[in-house]
Amino acid sequence: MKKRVLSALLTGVMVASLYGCGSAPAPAPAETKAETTAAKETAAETKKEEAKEAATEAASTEAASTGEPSGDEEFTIGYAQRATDAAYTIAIKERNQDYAKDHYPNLKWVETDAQGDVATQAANIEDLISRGVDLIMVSPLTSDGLTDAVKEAMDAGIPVVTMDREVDTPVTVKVVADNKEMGVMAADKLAEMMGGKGNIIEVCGTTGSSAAIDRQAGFEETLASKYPDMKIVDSQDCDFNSAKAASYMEDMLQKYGEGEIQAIYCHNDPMAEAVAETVVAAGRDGEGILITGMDGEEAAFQMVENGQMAFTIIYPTMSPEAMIAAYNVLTNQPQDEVVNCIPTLVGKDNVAEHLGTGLQ
Amino acid sequence: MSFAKKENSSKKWISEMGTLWALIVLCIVGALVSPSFLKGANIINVMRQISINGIIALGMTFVCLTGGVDLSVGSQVAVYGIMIAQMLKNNVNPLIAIPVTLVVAILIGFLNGLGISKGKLAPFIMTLGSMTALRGLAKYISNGSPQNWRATGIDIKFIGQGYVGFIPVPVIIFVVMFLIGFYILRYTWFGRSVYAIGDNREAARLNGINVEKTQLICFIITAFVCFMSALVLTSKLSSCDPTAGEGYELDALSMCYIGGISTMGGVGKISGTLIGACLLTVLSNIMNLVGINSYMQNIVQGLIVIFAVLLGGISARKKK
Repeated sequence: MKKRVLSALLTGVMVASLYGCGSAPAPAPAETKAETTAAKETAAETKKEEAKEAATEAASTEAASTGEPSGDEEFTIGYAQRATDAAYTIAIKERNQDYAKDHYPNLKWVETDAQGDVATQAANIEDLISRGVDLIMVSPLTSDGLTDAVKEAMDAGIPVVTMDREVDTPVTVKVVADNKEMGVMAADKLAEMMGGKGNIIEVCGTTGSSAAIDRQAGFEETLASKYPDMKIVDSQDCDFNSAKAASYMEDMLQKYGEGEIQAIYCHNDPMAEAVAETVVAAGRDGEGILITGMDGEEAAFQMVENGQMAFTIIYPTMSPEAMIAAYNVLTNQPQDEVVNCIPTLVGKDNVAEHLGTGLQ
Repeated sequence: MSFAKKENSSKKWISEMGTLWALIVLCIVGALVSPSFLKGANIINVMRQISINGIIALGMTFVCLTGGVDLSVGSQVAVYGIMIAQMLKNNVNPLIAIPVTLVVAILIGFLNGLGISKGKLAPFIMTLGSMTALRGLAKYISNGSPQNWRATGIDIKFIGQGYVGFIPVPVIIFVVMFLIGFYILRYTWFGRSVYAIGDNREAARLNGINVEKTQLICFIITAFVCFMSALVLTSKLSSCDPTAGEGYELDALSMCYIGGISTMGGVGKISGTLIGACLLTVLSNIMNLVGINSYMQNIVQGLIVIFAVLLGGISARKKK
């Protein structure tokens, strides 16, 4: 029923815009606009088979915004979300869209959500291509699974902005951040705090995941080349999981007595928080063990502020860099092909300015 | 039937004793390879670690004894943990949040049990479904992010981190639950029904045992132990991941099977599960102390499950 009303509305809008088109002096851009609306209408029809909530939502917001009169040139951005089950992927989308709301009122959104499934994300991108969006923003689940779909979009002349992860085909702009750089930053900062020497325990993320590989490599290579007196005495794959990290740390606190651990380097914030809790529970918080995390969770900021953690490093949410890049492409302004977002180290001295902005 | 019972009981006894010997050998090895292993603090540490997974294995024992399996326990832990964490985060009084979660747990256990007893679904199928659905639910209500309530100042750490004397509270919870489980299985009509159903479902029915009701209650028991485990885990970390409890179903099943619970049901003792739980946890503790990486740990754990069950079977056949 709702969809019927929706398609009626869209048809109405289409007719209205055709009418407007006839009287307008410059028909060229308006006509393309009408065509896209028509395409969208068909899309809304075909969607009857699909029971995807996200798509319906997108369509209804679209209907609302189409109804509004707008003098400026309008662009439709197709957003192919990889999943909405992690604070980070949600933050990428929301922060970019919030920026757009404030700065680019002439943008419209068509959103899809792959819910963590590669095949779905590829199909979603194909849908966006056939809907004729002006640009696709995508944070690919995997390079292997999405490369073909992204190539299809590029071949169809639709510019693509990838965020965070990459695909194995040329894209218009890729917005990336360097996990390895975060490892290097952590090593340098720890060296500064530890006076260049001491024992470190490394609590690793899922081995084989690119984040864990790079965070480990950046850290360990920096220690090896610059700080020979800083030693990783123990390390374990704790799967980015707080319970596993806590249990591992319980064992480590048995193995290493007072004064034998100077720092604990964790590959993400939930593990660092769990490690900090464990150190307190074991009554070892008086030793001044430096616990560090990564990602930029609000809870970690709070722990940095109250001294339970030494620092965390924010993994950039690709915003507003991705949004600015997309807008530059749409409006034919100069834009670099690669945008490298810089991670931010949040320690005791600058935590105040980050409190309240962390991942929830 | 009486012949089968004799064979079963000798098999049960031998595999349980065998596991106990294995545990003792493992402890000796541990003492030799790591100077920290036998220290009092580490023993208390290991006991605390046994509690979280062990609590679940206690409940799993009931289901396994009826010949069933509950794959949803890990996901249940996540749902209950996330519920507690999220309510506390929103400043709900723990005295409300915890009982509310308990009610939800009993409801979920009831639904699991209902699908199996009334709906005649195989436990594997029913709980495979609820495992997936509940994991989704945990991610849905938490929006996929870890939930913590550190900002509110609510403190329930006592449950997960506290001590009574020198004994950690989780250990006390675990021991009390073990004793209750032991009593129920050994001395109550319900406990004997559990064994009877696993031994021979039709015979049990003909003997006037309400098979459906017993099964239903077993799944409520697993839901309850998952709730307790979630409570301990969440209060220990002051937070909960939506991925919490992943793989706990396999840990709990390993503990049961190592402890001599038959996959067909009807055979095994809850004390076997206790030994199985100790064995796996001590093993992981030693490997962590020595610094063996987690892949190797998985290989060893997997092989131990296979050999424990294999040896139990061989010695039972020899005895016969």
